[in-house]
Amino acid sequence: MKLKFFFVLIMAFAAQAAETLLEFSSKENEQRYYRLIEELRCPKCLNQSIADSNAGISEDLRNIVYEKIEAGRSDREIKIFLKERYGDFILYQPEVGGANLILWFAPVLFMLGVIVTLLLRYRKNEPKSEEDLLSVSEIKELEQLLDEQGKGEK
Amino acid sequence: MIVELAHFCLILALLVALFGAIFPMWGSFYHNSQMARLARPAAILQFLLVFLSFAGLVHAFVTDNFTVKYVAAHSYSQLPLIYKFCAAWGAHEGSMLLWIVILCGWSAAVALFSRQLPEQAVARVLSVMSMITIGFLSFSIFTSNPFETLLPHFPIDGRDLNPLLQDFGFIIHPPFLYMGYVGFSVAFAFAIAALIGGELDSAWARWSRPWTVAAWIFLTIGIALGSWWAYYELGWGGWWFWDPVENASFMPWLSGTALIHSLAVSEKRGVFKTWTVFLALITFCLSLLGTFIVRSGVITSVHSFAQDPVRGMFILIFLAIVVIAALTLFVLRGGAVKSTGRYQLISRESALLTNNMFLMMALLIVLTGTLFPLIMEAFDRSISVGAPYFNRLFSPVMLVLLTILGAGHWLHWKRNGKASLLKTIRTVSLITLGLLLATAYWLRGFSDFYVWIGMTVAFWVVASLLLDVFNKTKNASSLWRGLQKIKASYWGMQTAHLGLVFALVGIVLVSFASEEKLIKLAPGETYKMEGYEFTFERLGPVQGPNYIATRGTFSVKEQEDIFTLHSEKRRYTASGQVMTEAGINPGFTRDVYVSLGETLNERDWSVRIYIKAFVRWIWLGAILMALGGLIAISDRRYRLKLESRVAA
Amino acid sequence: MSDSKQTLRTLALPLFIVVLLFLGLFASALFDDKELVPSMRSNKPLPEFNARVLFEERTAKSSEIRGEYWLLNFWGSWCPTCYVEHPYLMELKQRGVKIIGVNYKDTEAEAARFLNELGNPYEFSFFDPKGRIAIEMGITAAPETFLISPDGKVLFHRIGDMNERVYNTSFKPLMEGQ
Repeated sequence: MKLKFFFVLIMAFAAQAAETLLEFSSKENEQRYYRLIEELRCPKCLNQSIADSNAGISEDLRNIVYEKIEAGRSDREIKIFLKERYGDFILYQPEVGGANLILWFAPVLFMLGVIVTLLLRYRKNEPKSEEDLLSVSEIKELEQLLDEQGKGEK
Repeated sequence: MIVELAHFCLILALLVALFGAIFPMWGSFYHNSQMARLARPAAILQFLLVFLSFAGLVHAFVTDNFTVKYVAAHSYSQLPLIYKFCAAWGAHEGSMLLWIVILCGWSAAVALFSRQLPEQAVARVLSVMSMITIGFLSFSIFTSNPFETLLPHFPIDGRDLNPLLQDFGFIIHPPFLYMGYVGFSVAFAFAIAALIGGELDSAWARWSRPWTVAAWIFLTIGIALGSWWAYYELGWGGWWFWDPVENASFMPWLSGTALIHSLAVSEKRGVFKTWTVFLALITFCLSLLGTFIVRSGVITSVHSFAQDPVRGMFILIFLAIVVIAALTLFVLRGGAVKSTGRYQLISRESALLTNNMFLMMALLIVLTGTLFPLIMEAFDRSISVGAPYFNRLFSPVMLVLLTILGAGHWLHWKRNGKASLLKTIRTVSLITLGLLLATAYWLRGFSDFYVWIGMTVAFWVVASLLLDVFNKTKNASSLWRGLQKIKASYWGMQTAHLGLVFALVGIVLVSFASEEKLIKLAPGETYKMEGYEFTFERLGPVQGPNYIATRGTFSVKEQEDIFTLHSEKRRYTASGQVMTEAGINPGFTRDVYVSLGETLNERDWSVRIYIKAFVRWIWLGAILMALGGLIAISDRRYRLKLESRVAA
Repeated sequence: MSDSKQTLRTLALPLFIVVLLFLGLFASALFDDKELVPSMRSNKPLPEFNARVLFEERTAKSSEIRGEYWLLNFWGSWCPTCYVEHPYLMELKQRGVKIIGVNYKDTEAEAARFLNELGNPYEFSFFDPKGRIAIEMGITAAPETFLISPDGKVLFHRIGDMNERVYNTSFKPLMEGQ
């Protein structure tokens, strides 16, 4: 046990200071970098972000993103820069506007519409009394029961 | 010789399927019970034939028969035996054959385990199944024949199986996924048979329920396996990529989930019957759509099979026939059904229907996101829809869904008294708050809105589950007695919903509490980060059976624990492909993940380090969901039928 | 329950139209092989960039590419397809076509070996080891070739190798058209 500890200690001293591949000026920049490279598509690959792809172009694009973040550019500016060169294709998050509005809003609005329609239709013939709530089979059962009772009494 | 026999079996199976599609259906219409009774033997014979055919293909792989084109393209003499076996479903042609075997397996299972059903219904169900089999069998035989040979000029060795697929996860992932995908064909066939017969009563819901849940269990596990495999095999530490191929399997899952709930309400309460039939139809249609997306290559994806417009066209025509026929039948006959139950607005029926709608919303989001680039391409615009879109829209829908799911547990069927309802809501809210306070100390470090709202919803569901169990047992003489009285199907539901909570917590925490570092490290160096010390111990060559690799050994110090991780860069000799094997130390609350990158210069390597918080909970959640389904179909209601059948 | 029957019938038409539209869309997509990444630089002025000239001390600017039709070809000694297209580039040079290269993600030593072995079809090459010019031009990999007009406009963007067929169908008509 002691030996192991000793070994670890020596290793620690022998080790040179390792560094992260990219030095960021702030924690916020680092987080922005990792988020942004996930949101950009490798233009050469089938369907990978530049974070996940090993292609040469992805490496270069990552470097550009890093430099621009450290140079104080905003996410939007970086995306516009890349869009000018690679088109909308490079953005995994399509811009909200134009035809893309269908993409962003149609599914949710359509289903909300369906839910509202169902609600309105339901309102029209909402069961109000206890009697209304009985199902058809239950009504039948009840009638039968009443029938039998009636017979029994006679 | 065996290859020719296997090929022959496949063609014979097509003939039997034609036979099994026509005669039983004919018999069911003209009350010819002799013809109707042919359905069962035909289904079983189809299964035996395609199974033999598949066995023939496996045999060709195991014996390195490189005269077969498919074997030569996807196997290699040095490939370990287990992978030779699995290589049978390693690419398009073979996986299609596996798909057919599984489809016929489901038919045969229906033929064997549905003796209590009326002859007419069985004949129609199996006939519809045979029609589906015809579609896939002819697809396989005419466009994707795995038994095509390279005679007389065949290679002396194969081109090896894609290294990504040489892995345990791959061995079991496709069979499970296909079991699920194809399993929904049973619910589809039941729905079609019911529409043809015009008998959309509760009976068909009761019959198809266990089959649908069984398919759903397989699909759940299949998707989870795919996610787990991508996580450790692709080397990027992601567990879900919203890739079109993943979405293709996720869409039937979403509508299948809606279906099993809707079936339950239809059977128990006699409502939403038309809707349930519709769901049964579209769930299988979505499976077919998924098949089209994966196998036609119209949507670019990392996982797609090779492109071939003829194949794509074939599936598309098949898809068109199935969808149009099913929808026509639905429009003509689906409206004939009358809901027999009534309910008030605030009731469990409403909660279930609303959640069905939210599942449809989730489905529509995935569908739109997957197909939108294709639509834009038709207008000459090239766009990408990826994870940021899906996450942004999907997450809120799921949170609403889970909130209503919680309420569904303590809302009564039909009606709820106002006073007791308010009291229940207060109790559940208090328990939720209590659970939040209990974990607040640990959660205090998170400033992200989603962590807090996610945890609140998770606790809300847990509180609802607890209250529900309490309500169920409070009238019993003791808690133990009360628990014993509860039916298995109820425990199944509880387990599955708890699984969803686990998955939610896992997803939220892995997204917001994980660490990611890309560092430069040389052997002998140590990298320190909060709570961890990574030491690059050594670098050495490794000789594998069909690859050579550079293996990096890392020791990781986590508080007082020290463990070793290995990450390899492999070069597969036959194909020359390079693959990264990540080193992972799994844990209940975190995974430590090390992935060897590229050489930067003579001594330095780029190394990716991830601390993945609670990532295992996602797959644990999926396992619980599947387990819940398993418990539910083990319910006595279904067992009783089995017993009565044995008695009869 | 004619009510729900009625609803279904009304919904049927839009439902079928949507289904048929999608089926049509899939069918057309099957036989469609468009470029995944559209060229953003086509029909626009050549963007400004400057870089050191390969093997030389001097810096060249993109604005120097003027006055006549130029091909701007991205290449690297690491790129297998560049070896395939190289003989054709040499042939184009023989025919008097002016080509400027961009040596992409390469080292000068490797680039020198490549050109010494196979000949140098370029008037000169920009040296672009970090792929900066490539990103400026929207390149995804090598080889890719642009056609630049005398007034400095990008007329065409070829992704992939240059060969007789591509040159005759896509480049030549544009060069002779004006």
